[in-house]
Amino acid sequence: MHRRTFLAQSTTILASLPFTSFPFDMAKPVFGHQNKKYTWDKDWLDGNPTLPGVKDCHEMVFTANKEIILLTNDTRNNFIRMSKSGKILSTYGNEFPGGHGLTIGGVKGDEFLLVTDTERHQFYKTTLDGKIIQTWNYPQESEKYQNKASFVPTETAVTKDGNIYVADGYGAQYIIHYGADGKLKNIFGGQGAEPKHLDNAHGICIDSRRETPTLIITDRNRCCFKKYSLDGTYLETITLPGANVCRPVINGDYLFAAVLTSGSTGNAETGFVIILDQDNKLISAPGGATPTYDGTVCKESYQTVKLFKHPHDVLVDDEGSLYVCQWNSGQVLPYKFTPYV
Amino acid sequence: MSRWLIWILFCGLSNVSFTQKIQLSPPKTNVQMAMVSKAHPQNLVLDFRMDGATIRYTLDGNEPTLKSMRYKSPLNIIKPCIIKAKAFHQDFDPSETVTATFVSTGKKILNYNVSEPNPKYADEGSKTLFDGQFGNMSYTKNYLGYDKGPVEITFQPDSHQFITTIHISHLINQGAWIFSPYKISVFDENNKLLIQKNFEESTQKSASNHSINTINMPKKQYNQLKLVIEPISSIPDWHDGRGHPAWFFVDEVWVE
Repeated sequence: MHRRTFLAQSTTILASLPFTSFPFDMAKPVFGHQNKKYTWDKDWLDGNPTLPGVKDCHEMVFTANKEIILLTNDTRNNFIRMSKSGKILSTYGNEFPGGHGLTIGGVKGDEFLLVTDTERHQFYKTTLDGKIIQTWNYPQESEKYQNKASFVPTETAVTKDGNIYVADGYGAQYIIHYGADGKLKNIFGGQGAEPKHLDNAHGICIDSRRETPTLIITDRNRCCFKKYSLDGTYLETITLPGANVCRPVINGDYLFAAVLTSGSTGNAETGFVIILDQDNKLISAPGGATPTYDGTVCKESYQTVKLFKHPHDVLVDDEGSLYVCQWNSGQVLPYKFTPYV
Repeated sequence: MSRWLIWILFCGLSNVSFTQKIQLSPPKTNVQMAMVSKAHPQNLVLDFRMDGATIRYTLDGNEPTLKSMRYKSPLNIIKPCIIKAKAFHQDFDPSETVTATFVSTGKKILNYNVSEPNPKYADEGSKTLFDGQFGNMSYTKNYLGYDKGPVEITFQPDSHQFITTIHISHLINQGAWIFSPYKISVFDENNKLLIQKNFEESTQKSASNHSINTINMPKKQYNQLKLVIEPISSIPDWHDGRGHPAWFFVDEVWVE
C-alpha cells in the first residue's frame, strides 16, 4: 500500500472513532490480589540517557537514604544505585563474577552490605560503595566442608546486633551462623529428607514480625519456606505448591518473595511474585494465579500472565512500591510496580 | 493537512505504546494425553485462576477463539478426541493453546518384549510401553530412553482380533537431544517385513512435542508383530549435538 493511501485511510478510520475512546483510555492492567494490587510503571527508567548493561540481576536492598542498590553478576557494574523515581545514580564494582546475595545491615551513616559470590565461593562485608571490608572463606572450622568448591553461598541475613547467617544454597545446603565477632558459632540445615534439611536454600531472612524473631529460609526445590529459631532449631514449614521461591523479604506485616518459575520442576521463562500475610498465608500473587486454599492447604500456584521471566528478588520501598529484578530475562533492569488503590 | 498528519502520527505512536498487551500464560491441564473408552472415561480439568479470565476450548481440532465453548467445570471424556484450550482476558493477549489428546484404548496385547533401554531411563521396563499410561513433556517418567538402536518391540496381540493400525507414542525434545526416529519397520511372526516407514531428517529446531506415529497395517489377524525402530545415529549439523547419536524416548505402543 502506498504511504499516501495509507494516511488517507487512517484519517477516515480516525474520524469514525469517538474521540474519547482513542488513544488515552487504555486502562493499565492490575496485578495481584486482595489488598496487595499493583500497576506496572513500565517507563520508570525511561528518563535515563543510557542504561547500564547487566547480565543477571540478582538481589536488591533499600538504603536509609531511600535509594535502591541492585547487585548483578556483571563485572562491568556489579552494583547499580537507583532512585525510587528511576534515575540511575551510579554504577560501580567489578569484583564479583558470581555476585548473588545482597543484604544491608547497620544504621544510617554506618550501613554496610553483605555480598555472596557463587563463583568465588566467598562472602564479603562491603561499604555501600562496594569496597570490601571483610572476606569469609568456606567454613573449614565447621568440619562439614573439605574444600572451597562445595561452598556456594547464595544469601545472608544479619541481626541488629551483628550476627550473620549465610545460606549455602547452591552448595552443601548448610546455614552457617557467625557471631558479631565474625567467628563461627553454629551450623545447621544441610542435605537430607527430614523437615530440618534443605534443598536449594536460596535465601534467608530474619523474621521480626513477632516478639521472638525467627529465621525464614528458602527450600526452593521443595517449593517452601522453613522457619527456624535463631539457634538453628527447625520449627515449621510453609508449603507453597508450584512456587519455586527465591529469598523471603519481610516488609511490615507481610512476606514478599520472587518466584523464579512455576511448578516444582520449573518451567522456563515463567515466574511471579508472592505475598504472604502475618500468618504466612498466601494472599496475593502479582503475575500469578489467584491464591486459593482448600482448608489449610494452599492450591498450586502458577504464572497467569507473561509479565516476568525468572524473577529473582523483590524489594519494597517506603511507599509500598515493588521492584522486581530478574535472572536470565534478556538483561533487563528491575521493573517497578506502584500500589493500586 | 500537515497538522492532520502530525495528529495521525501522534495517535499512531501513542496507540502502539498504549495498546501493547501482555500475553496470558496457558491454562493448566491435568492431562496431556490419555487413553479413553466408555468403560474407562477420563476427567479433563482445566485451571486458570484469574479474575475476569475465561478458558475457551474446541473439540474439532481448531484453535479456540472468543466464540468457542467456555470451560466451566471438568469435562467427562468418553471417546477419543483432541481438546484445545486457551485463556482469554480483555486486558491481555490470549494465551498459547494447550492440547489434551484422548486416544482409543488399544486392543488386547497378550505378551510383549522390548529391547533393554539405557539403564538411566528404564522406568518399569517393557511394561512401560503397554500400561496405558503416557508420559508428559518431562522425559524422566513413563518413558523408555534409548541412545542406541535398533530398538525392538515384539508383542503378541490377541489373534482373534483384526488389526488395522499400530500407534507408537514418543517424545520430541531436541534441546535434550531427543529426536524422532530415523526408521520404523514392522515384521510379522515369520520375520517377514510388512511395512517400513522412513522419517525425514529435521532441518531446523522444532518445539518440544509429544508425537504419535500411526502405521496403517493390512487388516488381518496377527499372532505376533515386531517393531524395529532405528534412532538417528548422527544428530544433524544445525544442532549443538551434531554428529552424536540422538536419543529416542518412547512411552506407549498400542494397536487398533
